[in-house]
Amino acid sequence: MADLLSVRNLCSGYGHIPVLHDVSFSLPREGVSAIIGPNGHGKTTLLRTLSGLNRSWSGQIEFDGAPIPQSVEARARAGLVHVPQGDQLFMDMTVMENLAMGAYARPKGYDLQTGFAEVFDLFPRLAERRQQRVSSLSGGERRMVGIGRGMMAGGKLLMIDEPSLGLAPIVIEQVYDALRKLASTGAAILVVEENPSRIETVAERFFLMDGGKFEWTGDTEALRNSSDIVATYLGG
Amino acid sequence: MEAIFQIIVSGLTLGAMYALGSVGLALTYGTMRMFNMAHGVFMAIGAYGAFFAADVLGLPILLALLGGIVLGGVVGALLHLLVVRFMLDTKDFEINILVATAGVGILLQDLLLKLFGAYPFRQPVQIEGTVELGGVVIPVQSLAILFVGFTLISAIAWGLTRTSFGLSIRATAMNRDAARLMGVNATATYLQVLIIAGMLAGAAGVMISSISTLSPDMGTNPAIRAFVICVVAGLGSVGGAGITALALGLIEAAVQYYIGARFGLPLMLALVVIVLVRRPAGLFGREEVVRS
Repeated sequence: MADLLSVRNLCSGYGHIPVLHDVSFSLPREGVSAIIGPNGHGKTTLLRTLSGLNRSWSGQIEFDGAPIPQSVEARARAGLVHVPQGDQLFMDMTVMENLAMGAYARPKGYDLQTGFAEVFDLFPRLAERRQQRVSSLSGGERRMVGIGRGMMAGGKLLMIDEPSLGLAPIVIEQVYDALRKLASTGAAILVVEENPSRIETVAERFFLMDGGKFEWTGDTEALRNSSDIVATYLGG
Repeated sequence: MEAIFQIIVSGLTLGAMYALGSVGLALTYGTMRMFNMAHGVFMAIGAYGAFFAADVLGLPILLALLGGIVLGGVVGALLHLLVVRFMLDTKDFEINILVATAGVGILLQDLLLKLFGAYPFRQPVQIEGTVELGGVVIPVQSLAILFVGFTLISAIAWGLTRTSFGLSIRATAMNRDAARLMGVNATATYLQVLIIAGMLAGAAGVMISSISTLSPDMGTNPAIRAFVICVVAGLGSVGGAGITALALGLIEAAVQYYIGARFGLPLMLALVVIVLVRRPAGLFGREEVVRS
């Protein structure tokens, strides 16, 4: 079967400043992949260019066997789900309303309760908070709403930008436990994470991004055996 | 006792008209950061549309009212398709659109003047007569305004909070990029918002002209009030605009009764100044907290 996502020579940036240089990679239809690498080297820009929030300057993106649609909303409808950095929740809405928005692109007859049940199963804390406005939630709970909102879309690929950003270690553990459970369902997930040690037990494929291009690619075993390369780029 | 009842009825009537006028403005600003300076002319267009439907085409008043509302929506749609759409992603959109819509407003107002002249026509879309309620004589038209106002505002409130369409409008207002990531077509949402705002303005225009007269600049004063109401409520707060409109209507009715009709607007503006000194973000607005 063809790859779920296939990217060829993708370039993008902000204003006149290039950030991504000829990025090429592909993702299969199942399993967790991770983009690792130091801050400020284009990981978030890559996700934003894939979801359409940033314009791509050149290169091709194929998604689910067809050239990807132009607009952000059309890409979302095609099943490319982006859980953006900093959550970007609808702050004056309740947890339930945020989750309902996640399923906005689903066909009409979709029963929201099914999605709610899945999300609450993964994040029981959100079930208790379901009627609260998300502006009253803690950082960790907001992250859960963000990921839950992404799950509600029922897309083909779930891209999560820095699920651990700004959270306390114990909360990071909870979020990663949830990701591990999500991964065990066989969903296709692409996670951006600065620190490879957190993601190494979850993902099976790794892309090391530095200076706007992939400097190294490999599976979990290769990552363990290449600690020197990783240390060069990430320190430690 | 009768005086109080009188004040409440005329206050709610004023408030219903103000709410019709300001909720659309608040929705537009809240969703797309656009202050529509042509909003007052939208009211006049709705009023003339109903007048034309009833007086020239001879339609029954309910249909004529509907015609005025629909015409307001059409003008809202045209404003989006011909002007707003092209400016949405420009730098300094908020200022640009203010100037652009002010220009559109002048154009449309002159068009009304050209088409209908400055003659103060009487609005035929109204119900004659009075009823006596609890010893107070009330014009039937006041009750009609109350009915139309509360029906339309409740419909909007229901739509915004209880439907997936309303959810997508609120989502776009809170975070446009995130809404697009959910599959919401933000440009279409903006079109829908301007249609709704235009329809509300059209309804407001028909109601306002029914208790005064038609004139191309009839929307100017109501639009100023609508702007004031939006600022006091907190820019972009739709529910807040509705509540503030009712409150200011009641206060104005009381001032007119006890002090005199001409003190209504000045005292209302004084109240606004006091509110804004105490709460710069408005009664229902929130201070923007910048997180690093």
